[in-house]
Amino acid sequence: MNARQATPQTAQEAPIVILRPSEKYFEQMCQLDAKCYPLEEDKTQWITPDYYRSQMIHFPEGQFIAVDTATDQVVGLTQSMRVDFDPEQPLLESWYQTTNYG
Amino acid sequence: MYGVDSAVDPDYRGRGVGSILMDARFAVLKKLNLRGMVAGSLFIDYAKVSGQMTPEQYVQEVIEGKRFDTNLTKQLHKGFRVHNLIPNYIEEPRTHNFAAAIVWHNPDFNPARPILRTVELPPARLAMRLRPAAQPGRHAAVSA
Repeated sequence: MNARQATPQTAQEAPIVILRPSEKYFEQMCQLDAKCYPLEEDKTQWITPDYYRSQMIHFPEGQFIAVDTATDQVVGLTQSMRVDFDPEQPLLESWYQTTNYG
Repeated sequence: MYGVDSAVDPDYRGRGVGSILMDARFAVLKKLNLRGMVAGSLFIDYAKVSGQMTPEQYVQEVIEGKRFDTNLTKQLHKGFRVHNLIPNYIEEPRTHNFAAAIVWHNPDFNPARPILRTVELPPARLAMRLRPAAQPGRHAAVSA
């Protein structure tokens, strides 16, 4: 099915708000992550509300969600961490090593 | 700053949501006076052509604008540059577990200023209108 056709008309008109994640949205954030990054391994075991709760404790400035105000649904999310890095030599390791499994 | 995660619901892609989320991050790291941002880009549309080329070739073609990638093309538009490829970054069949290390330099970074530990949290409530979904034969008017 064409995703664009599936987009309800209301979603086009409704404004999106960018918010800091809060308790009422953590469960929805888990579902959106699973929808966008499906893994064979059951990621639901560690992408839990606690994962997002912890990020809000360590670096609340770097966490945002986009919410469709018409439906109160989380339609976008972004999480950040503070790391020390040299922009010329970023030398990223795996996601798991950098984030210690989130 | 390290970009841990970013995701936009497939029904809302291509309409400016990811872009404004990234702008929110950029605003914070400018306030903190951080040097920039690094992330692993999952170039997921590689899955469509993975039988025809290596990840290196694919990423090169995305950089050259010959191919569109749901994630990487948009990150390049936001000013990120690809630094290198990372094998075994994450379990992601669509990229054969690769990610592209992407870097964004904070143009306002000032080495003479302190790097702040924290900033006052404004009540982040930015409102935006969705860009209309692109339709064939019609130019999408940007209203965001």
